[in-house]
Amino acid sequence: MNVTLCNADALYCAGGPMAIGVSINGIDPSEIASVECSVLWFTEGKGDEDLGVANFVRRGRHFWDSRIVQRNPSDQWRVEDRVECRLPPTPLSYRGHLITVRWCVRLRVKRDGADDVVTQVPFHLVAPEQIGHFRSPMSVRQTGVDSVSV
Amino acid sequence: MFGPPTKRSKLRPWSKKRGDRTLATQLGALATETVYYTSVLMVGVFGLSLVLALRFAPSRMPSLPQIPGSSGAPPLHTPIAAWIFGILFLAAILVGAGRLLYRLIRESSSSEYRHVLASRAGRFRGKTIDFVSLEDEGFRPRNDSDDPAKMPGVPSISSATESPGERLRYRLAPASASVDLLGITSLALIWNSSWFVLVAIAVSGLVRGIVRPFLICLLVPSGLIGWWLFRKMIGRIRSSAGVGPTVVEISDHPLHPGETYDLYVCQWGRMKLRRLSVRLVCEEETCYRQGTDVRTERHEAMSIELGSMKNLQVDPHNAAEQQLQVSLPTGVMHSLCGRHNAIRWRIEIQGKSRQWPSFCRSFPVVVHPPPPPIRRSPR
Repeated sequence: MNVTLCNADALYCAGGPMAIGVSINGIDPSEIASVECSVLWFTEGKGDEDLGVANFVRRGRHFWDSRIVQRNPSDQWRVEDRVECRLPPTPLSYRGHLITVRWCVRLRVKRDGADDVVTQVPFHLVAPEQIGHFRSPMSVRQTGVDSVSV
Repeated sequence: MFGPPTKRSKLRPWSKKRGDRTLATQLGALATETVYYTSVLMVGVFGLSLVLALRFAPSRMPSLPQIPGSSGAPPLHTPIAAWIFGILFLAAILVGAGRLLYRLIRESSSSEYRHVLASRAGRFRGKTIDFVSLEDEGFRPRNDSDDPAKMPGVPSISSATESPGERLRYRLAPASASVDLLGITSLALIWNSSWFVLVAIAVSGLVRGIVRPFLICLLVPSGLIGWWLFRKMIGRIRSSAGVGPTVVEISDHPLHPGETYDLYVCQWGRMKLRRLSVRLVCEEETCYRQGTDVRTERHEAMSIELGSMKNLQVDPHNAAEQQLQVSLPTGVMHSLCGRHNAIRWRIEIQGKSRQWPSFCRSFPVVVHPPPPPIRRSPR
């Protein structure tokens, strides 16, 4: 599974637009029960987790039949989709002593009779006036992709 | 799930659980909870059916055998018993069905989906629910980002701006009354009431010629503890009532990073203050479970000294007044209020007096993120 953010540096303005490219390889579309793409924030740290979902899109089984892009020579299925949303103004990304607020795009593939497959891509939500400060050449960082089988 | 195999703990339901350890597997917990809540639901259905049948069609019910020594109708026949048992069984049905449904939804859906369902339910309560296409897109709830004025996770400012100030625009409300005072007062009253009950028992025994030496010995230490609690309570009441009110007014609210605000602080009372200092404090507050306890931890993330006065004489005609300015640095975190985590901003007034204990009063303020740049029209 691959999640691509429209900004390569993973920096987003609070209240600004966001586009997410989703592609799923190697899973037969007939096995996919649903795919959930969420833009969410969650807290990390000493306390229990707080979670807020800013955007949630759930694609059903029939949606993917029309989204098969190619069946490559190695007999791998590949389906693609694109989600667009507007980010909320708060909460901004934060790293403190007890609390850390993180933003991510989480893609969850629910399969028939099998465990969910979850991928999440972190990004930073910053105030519009600070985006220039974070976008200095030294502070551009690569986006990480964590794949977790649940 | 993929970690090293852990040593299976002994099943000790009476012992205190610590950390995140659980006694059963996830599947076992689901099965047990399902069986339990189904049982509660079924007992409720059975009991309510019985109550309704006995209430509305008693003649068609088979006659119950009469218990020897009892007289009159069976207990469920009386109207009051029917109401009591009816409410109890209805509560069992609601609890059983609700918890069963919640547990099954929780098991079959992701945490994100459950959050969306909960926010939809909240919107339904607010009568602004909107159903968006349920077809090929699944469904997409309208989220708060559609309205730029709504800031998810940021506390409301209504309580802070409903009181106008005399010198400046808003008068800030102090933080809620101290829990310490309420706690020590309750403890002192309960302890001393119990002590007087024991004294009454001991005295009544002595009047009737019954001497209870153990009780009399117990009265002495518990009386001393009661006296200590009473003195603490009086001290707390004296210090909270003796130090006069503190007034804090601000030129604008909510606060935004990078902006400067006027602040007016006034301390009333009749005392000599060695020092009165004003600070702007940002505090992280987090709440977590540790076994069966819920603990709260706080950390002062930022503190800005706004001003201080020394050696003040405060009397009812001459309050200690101070006009200050608050400059909020750029890049600071806005206020946040989640279920378990919060970032709170407050203006804190600390006073050190000669005849009173030191006091500290806080006035919560809300910090918003910087406003978005104004989009100018081409015209």
